Amino acid sequence: MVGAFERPTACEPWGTVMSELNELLGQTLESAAHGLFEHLGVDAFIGEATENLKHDIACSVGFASPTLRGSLTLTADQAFVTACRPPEVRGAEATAADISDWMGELGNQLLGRFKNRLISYGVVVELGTPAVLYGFQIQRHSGRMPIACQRLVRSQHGTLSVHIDAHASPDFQMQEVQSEDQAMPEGELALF
Amino acid sequence: MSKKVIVIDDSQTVRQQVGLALSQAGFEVVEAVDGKEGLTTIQKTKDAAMAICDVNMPRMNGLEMLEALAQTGSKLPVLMLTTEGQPQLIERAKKSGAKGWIVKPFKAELLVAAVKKLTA
Repeated sequence: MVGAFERPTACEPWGTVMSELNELLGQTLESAAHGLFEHLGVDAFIGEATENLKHDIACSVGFASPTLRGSLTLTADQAFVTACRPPEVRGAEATAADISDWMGELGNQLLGRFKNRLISYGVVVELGTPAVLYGFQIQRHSGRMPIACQRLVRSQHGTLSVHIDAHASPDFQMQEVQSEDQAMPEGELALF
Repeated sequence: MSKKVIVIDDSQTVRQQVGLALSQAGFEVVEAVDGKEGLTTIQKTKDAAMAICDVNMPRMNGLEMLEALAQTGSKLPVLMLTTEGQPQLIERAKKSGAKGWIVKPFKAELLVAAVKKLTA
């Protein structure tokens, strides 16, 4: 848990409220990214994105709930994506299709972790399927969404930028939920 | 003769990853790229021992496939392998006859142990 976001009171300035929400969602995103890259065995530094880097592959996945909707966008160096493929397939030479496929799966797994952390706050979003793009000098520019948080992942193989752009309805809240309503943790198995 | 496992996932990398883990453990793997193809592959592969299925996929998702499969009266054990950990989705899968749920990313040894148990 990295905090809570409660419905703003009438006298709170909306800018302050959005800044708190951005901060909380940014921490949630960072926690999700840490978990994923640690599992993948990637020695990576994750921090605030202070530069707008140019990359050569991008991925976007949408998410929606009645009170929060938006998208996760990743832009990265292909070398970074290639180097963080699962250990079982990392030895084989990666084709453009392999890199594209893994970029989509990275978006899927990162947004899955983000979703599972949001469930801890009583927010349940539905996920879309990833779209991947190749290009030269791809840069993500912030759009018209009021919520925008980003993190930068650096490794010896290059960088990956992670962005969440979202819109929250005025009744959106993030509050801790009971343990039985928590998401099943990543890497766990349940047999029925 | 090795047991046959159908792996349904829209990510080629995940299918490769699961396929390698299972073939090293002595299983034969048949692949499908989404729920729609998964359903057809299950119906065609009469000697399959079980299926492993993702949830979020284009055309037909894993839960829709599971529900469609239940309507055919199939008793094939299905293990869900997904990034989703939402309790309501797990419950929905359980009600539709899924035999297990793993939240990605997974450790190969955990997956193989589950497959051995479900195909025993």
